[in-house]
Amino acid sequence: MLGEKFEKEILEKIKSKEPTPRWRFQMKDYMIWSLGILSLLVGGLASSVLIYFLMNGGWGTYGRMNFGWVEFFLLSLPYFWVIILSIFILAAYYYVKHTKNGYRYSIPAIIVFSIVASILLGGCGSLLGLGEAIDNILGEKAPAYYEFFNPQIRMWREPENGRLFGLVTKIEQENFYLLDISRQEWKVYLEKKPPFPLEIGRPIKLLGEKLHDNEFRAFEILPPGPGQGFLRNACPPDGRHPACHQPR
Amino acid sequence: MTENAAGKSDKELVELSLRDKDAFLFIVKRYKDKLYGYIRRITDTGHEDAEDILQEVFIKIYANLNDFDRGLKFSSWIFRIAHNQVISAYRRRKARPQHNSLPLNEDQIEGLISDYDLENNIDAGILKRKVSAAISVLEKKYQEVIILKFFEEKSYQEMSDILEKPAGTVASLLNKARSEFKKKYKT
Repeated sequence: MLGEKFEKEILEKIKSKEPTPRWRFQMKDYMIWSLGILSLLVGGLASSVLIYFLMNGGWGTYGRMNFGWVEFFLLSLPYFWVIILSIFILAAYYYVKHTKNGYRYSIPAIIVFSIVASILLGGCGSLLGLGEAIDNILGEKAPAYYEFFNPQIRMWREPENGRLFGLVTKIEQENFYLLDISRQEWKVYLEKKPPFPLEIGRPIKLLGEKLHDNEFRAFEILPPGPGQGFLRNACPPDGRHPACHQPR
Repeated sequence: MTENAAGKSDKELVELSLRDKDAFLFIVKRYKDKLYGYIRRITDTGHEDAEDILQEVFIKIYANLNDFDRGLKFSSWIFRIAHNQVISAYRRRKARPQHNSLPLNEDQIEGLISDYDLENNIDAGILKRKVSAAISVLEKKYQEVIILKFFEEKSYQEMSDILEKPAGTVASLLNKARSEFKKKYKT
């Protein structure tokens, strides 16, 4: 078949070449593994925010709002984090597949592994409060984007429809005052005792009805859930409002 | 170069070649005919094109010796390089199929036919042409697995390592290749 001439030609051609050094292959392997692990970690962070949204999305309030179930679900879903999680699950799949032995695992096996790893990491992150912390930071530092990320912000900024979200600024016997995200201050009348103590600077959500401009009757007071960091943008730039000096 | 390749394992030859370029000749001698036959079978090209591709394969093997994973069989690793090089050569050259008769061994043809329960009481020359024609019109992914299984006599694990696909996918491909080959053979 192929004689000595062929062999000599090969030896001639490799005379001027050197094998690629081992460290370059090792570096490539480390990069791929690092990027794969990083994708899983970022996916885990996204998952922890997603878990935070799902556990604090106020699903129990659905019956007390004037929304259909589908509309409420579509308004409450944190699309941004679902997309981010999906992107990093796919990224983790890509990098795992490109490791030395990644080809041995089927696509479904790697995707399932990525999803489970993200959920487990997200669960741990959620227990450590990472989901809430990320949501607060994003809400405070990136308000323009955050309003887009968190559709609930719009949903809770509708006093005409009985929904309000803001910081407690002053507490009186039968009522309190609330600063909303538009920096409008509301006098809020209580229908019943709040389920938790009110504190100045504490963010809360209200279900009720608008009485007049700047007056609201609250039927129900709810914990703030996602978007608390965003509320800090209600504080005036000089930060002089008393509600804005409270510890977070 | 005073070393003698006889009795040396592939892994030992790799270590030797990394220390002494001339020792790479032992790897070339050991695998040139096998790889040449493989390239001819999966590319359906003539002798000269196959020889050119084989040269590129050996140069690539040499350049990547430090990337050889000792957990793999060396033959699987170099067949993988050959497979990938054939794909890039095919795209680069856009080689027009020359419809050369595939170099098929008669024993291997018998194995293929009996495995697929096909009639084989015909003249050996005609049988070879029928099998060659049937394989050459299969989709590339089916050709690859049939050639690796029946003509290169690779195991499922080796095929998985060569094609860089999960073993389950390889098994599934072989099943589909079987029914496609039967259809083509009978028409």
